[in-house]
Amino acid sequence: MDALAPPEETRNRIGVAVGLSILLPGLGHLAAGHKGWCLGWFLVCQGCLYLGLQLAGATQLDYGTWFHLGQVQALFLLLPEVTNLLGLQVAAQLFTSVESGGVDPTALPWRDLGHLLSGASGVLAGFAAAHAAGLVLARDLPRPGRKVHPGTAALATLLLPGAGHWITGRRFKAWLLGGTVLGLFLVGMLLGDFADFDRQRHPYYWAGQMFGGGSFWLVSLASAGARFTEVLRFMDAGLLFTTSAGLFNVVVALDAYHRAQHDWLADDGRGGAA
Amino acid sequence: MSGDLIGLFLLLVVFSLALAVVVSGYRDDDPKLILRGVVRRSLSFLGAVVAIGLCSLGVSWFLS
Repeated sequence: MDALAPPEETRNRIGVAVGLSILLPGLGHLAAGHKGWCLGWFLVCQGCLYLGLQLAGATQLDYGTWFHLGQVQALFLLLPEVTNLLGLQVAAQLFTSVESGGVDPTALPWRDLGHLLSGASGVLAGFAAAHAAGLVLARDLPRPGRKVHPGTAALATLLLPGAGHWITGRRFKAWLLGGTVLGLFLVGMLLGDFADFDRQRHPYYWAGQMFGGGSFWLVSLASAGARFTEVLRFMDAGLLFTTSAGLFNVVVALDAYHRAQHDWLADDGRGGAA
Repeated sequence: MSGDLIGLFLLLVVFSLALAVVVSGYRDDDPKLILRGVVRRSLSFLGAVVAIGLCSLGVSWFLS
């Protein structure tokens, strides 16, 4: 298809909104003139991060590392929480992992939920940027008849793979892409006896799995107690499948955003094609 | 051994299809183009992985 792009001024404003959102979720919405969304995204992202750290005794920090500039601790890197950049930097200063105090992290009753919440804060921060970008587009180029801006389509994909395409009227792609991502994830979980979604055992795979969004998180919660008790025949393939499914969902969300933006720009503002 | 190979091949087929669906879905918006792309891309990926696997096997036999 012929790619339609917003005018340069709008693209610049979208860039600013995305950058601000990554810095602190909600700031991009403030730049787009949406104070309510700004407060909502800020509270959700920081609430998930700090509640998650509390529940897991801040053991998340054991998986991160400081990036040094000379003698200065410049940046705390932790996937996927780092997308909530400033929130994580402040948290890394405020919290200390209970494991460094001698506590066995596996004894923490809400540890899995804590890790899920803090990881979700990073993923949500990334999608907050997409949502802010969509709001900038909607403000600069209003289309009164349209309700689904690109940010909404991306967010819907995070909720359920394929949902972003569904709400833009692409039913075939919704079934195909959503079914593929969810199917690959479930096959992977089956191959790993539902013990694949475990940060302690596979922190880097886990970061990729987290991008699968709400449906993946629910499965993760449901299988929170499962652990590998033996070496399974295809458990490595299971990890590859579940992590790839999470990363594929990012591609699906990008496509949903891109197609919704195309629809938005193709509309001439009176409901017809430009 | 042969059971493992068949299992791995089936997993490769599944992954090739999933990868091809996502890439084709990203590239195209028309269902016909997507389906055509899925067949082409899944076969390309599957063929490339099998070819690399066979090359690796050949080199390991040659060196052993």
